[in-house]
Amino acid sequence: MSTTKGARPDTVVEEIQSTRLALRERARRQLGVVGESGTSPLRAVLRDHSVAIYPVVAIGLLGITDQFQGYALSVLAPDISSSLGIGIGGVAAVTALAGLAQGVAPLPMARLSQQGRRRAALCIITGIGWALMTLYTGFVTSLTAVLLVLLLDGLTTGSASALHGPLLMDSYPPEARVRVLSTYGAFGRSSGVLAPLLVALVAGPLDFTWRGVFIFLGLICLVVSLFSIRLRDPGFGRWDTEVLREDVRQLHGATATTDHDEDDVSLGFWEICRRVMLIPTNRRVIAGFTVLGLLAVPLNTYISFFLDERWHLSAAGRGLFFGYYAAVQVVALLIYGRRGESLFRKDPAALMRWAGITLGAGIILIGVGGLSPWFWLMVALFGVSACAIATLLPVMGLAVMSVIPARMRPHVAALTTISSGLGGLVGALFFAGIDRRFGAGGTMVAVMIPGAIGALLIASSSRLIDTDMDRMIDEVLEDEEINQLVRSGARPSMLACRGVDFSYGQVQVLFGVDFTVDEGELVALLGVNGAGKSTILKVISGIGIPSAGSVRFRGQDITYLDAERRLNLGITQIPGGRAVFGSLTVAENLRSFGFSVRKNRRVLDQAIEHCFDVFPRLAERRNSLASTLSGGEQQMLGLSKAFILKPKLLLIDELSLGLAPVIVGQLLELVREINAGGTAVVLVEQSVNIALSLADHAYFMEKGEIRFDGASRDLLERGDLLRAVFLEGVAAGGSR
Amino acid sequence: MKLKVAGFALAALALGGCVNLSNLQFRGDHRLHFVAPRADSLVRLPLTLRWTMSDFDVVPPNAQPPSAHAGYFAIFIDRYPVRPGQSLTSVAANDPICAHHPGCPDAAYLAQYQIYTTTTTSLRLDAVQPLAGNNDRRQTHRAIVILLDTSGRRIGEVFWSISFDLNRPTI
Repeated sequence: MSTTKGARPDTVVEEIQSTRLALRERARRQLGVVGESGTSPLRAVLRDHSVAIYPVVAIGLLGITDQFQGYALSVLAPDISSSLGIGIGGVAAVTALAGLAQGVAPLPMARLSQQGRRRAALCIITGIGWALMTLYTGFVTSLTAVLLVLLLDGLTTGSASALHGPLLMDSYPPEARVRVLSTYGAFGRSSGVLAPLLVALVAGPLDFTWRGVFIFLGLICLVVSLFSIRLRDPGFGRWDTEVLREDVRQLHGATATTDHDEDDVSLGFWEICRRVMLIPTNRRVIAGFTVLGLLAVPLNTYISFFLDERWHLSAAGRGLFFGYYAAVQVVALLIYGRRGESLFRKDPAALMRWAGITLGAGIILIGVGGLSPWFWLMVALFGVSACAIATLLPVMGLAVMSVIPARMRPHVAALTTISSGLGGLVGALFFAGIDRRFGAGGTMVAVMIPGAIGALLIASSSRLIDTDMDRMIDEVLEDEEINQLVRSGARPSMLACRGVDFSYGQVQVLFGVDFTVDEGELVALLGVNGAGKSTILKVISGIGIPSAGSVRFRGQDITYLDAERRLNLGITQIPGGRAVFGSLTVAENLRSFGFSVRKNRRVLDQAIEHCFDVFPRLAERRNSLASTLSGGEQQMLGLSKAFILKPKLLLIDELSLGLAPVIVGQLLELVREINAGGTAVVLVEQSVNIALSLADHAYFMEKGEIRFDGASRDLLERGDLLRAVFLEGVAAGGSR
Repeated sequence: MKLKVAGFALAALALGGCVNLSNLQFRGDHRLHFVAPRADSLVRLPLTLRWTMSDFDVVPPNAQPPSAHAGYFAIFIDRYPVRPGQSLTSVAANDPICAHHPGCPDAAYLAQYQIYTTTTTSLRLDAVQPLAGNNDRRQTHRAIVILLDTSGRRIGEVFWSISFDLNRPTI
């Protein structure tokens, strides 16, 4: 691709589009989707990419020890109560608090891992953290100490979900990821076998009390944490998004640089969470995680009562059953990895369909097992079901992490954990009711209801995952394209909206809107009522977040940036109608407009005085409530925002609506002055005459789409478009 | 990150303050062995719990200065015992009526809570309260035996427990 210094923005956009199409297919291959199912053995893949097995082993071992404390506590709680003289209610309460800490911990951990290569360090620190907490549990002597230990343990162990998966994703190439995540899952499940064995060994033949058990387990955790000390964070998207960026750079003959100008627009924590939840695949799969969390209640709790009530299994028998349950899951995960890998490589959508079918089959088997009159048939059915359900987690984890940029993976991992926890809470209520009415056996059958919903949710994501993956690819490519074009001297548009879709609930109002504003330009945006003009302004100012497409400001992606951060970048909107706070005085309104510059009071005072100079009428009524102002005065007050904030881009919605022509003339003159001062202006108008008298560049919108983009004089010749506006204007009796 | 480090430091301090290693028990204590009933067996009332005790002088309250090697037994049925170092009076700590009666809690008061003391190695139970909220006919009960020194305070955190089943009395 060749670029010319100072190339026009639309030329730049065309270049980006053509490059995007050329790179997308290659990018999908980079993400491991090659369209065929053949996979090399894992060892060969690792050897070809010079990647060691160490990260998955180290993180997997951490994943095992992560669950030691929780398991030991659940088994040894009666002993702790008897030793310390603490009622079981106290232990249950602190355990619940620890569970809560474990539930919320992934979010701050995602926040911590957001910047820089910290994930490996955080894995090690949290691993050492829970090792020390497990160790310390052996020394507690009061309920307060138990609470402290469990809270810290919950915070550290809960963090694993936000760190381990994303770190593995970046540590291994895409063609190994299903197998790596399955192996990690197998490590995690094996703790269901190892933990009981260790507790039985330490408390039995070694004759340790509960204190000794915790110290023993804590030491194991510590050794494992120290084993993981060589873990290194490979950086976000080392094997995928960074490779895509490198492809773009190679296309431009450029080399990797670190001077990304994205510091001021990189998404904050909640912005990333919101962005993650806007992706349809994520919404479906995260809802699927909620259902899995809900199912975990009967599978972890009521199954024990079921075995007791229906099959009269003793505690030892139930322990054996759970050991078997975990063991078959370990085997299933190790076997399934390659099959899942093949499916993903051929068609990620097929993998999600398969995941939905697997869950459906799994819960049917549980239901049938719950009704089985033969013990061993029940054991077999539950075992096969356990295998099926175990394979879901790596697949679903891979799905949500494949459709977002690598930097957001800790966040999506955290959100899946939290949604799973919420599902557990709902499940506790739901299945408690079922248990009261139908007994533990009834809960085993009842899993089929939420299970079927979950299966449909997960399967339905198969229709979305390809589109979302392509969108993620496009975002990355576009971002790097623009980086390269800017570096090569091309001038990006001040504002560039590309393919913007927006919906109010289920009603889509914008359809693939492309909208560009150059530095210092005054653009008119025309269209009838309901065309989507105000909505596109909301998308630009950040009040509305698009469901698809991008918004770039001076080349930087601001699509998911909060409105107040866009204000700081220099984007200001004057909303349509009465853009003032009616219950505040004029002076208070002006001060509220300057909220973002409030720290510099002197500058704000000067700006307010300037507004009074520009609008003497406002000075006269400075202490009047804004609601008592005339329509024209209210628009003057609204327009004052531009003088206070001095934006780079001013979005004005329906300035002339309902005003006398003489007032409109005065206001338009001011808009012209603001524009002449270097501020780019987007003027949304229904009055064609007004808009086109001011702007050289015009857009015309109809039914949520841009129908015209060009010079204002050319629009005047498009009677087919303008007729609707004129007719509507006549009907409304307005000035056209 | 600083907050996290500070949190860890705080926790370490808090925990450090709680720990007195000499009182903690890390290995099993096998000085007491239950003789009757058989663990997890179905029994009938009246029931006599029997056990053997070694390396501990069983003496009445106030018979000699308090020490960890002499004292008597407290038995808790379906209850968790008092904390190490506490006496049985802590059972009535939140009972204002008991607080205004000299000598309370006495044996009769404690028996209401299924707490008993003995200077022998057996305890006869004429009644065991059904488990609250459990309507099963066969109910599993748990007896926990702890050691009290001659001043009536719990010795260490050692305890021994045994479970037995009783059929719920029919009305």
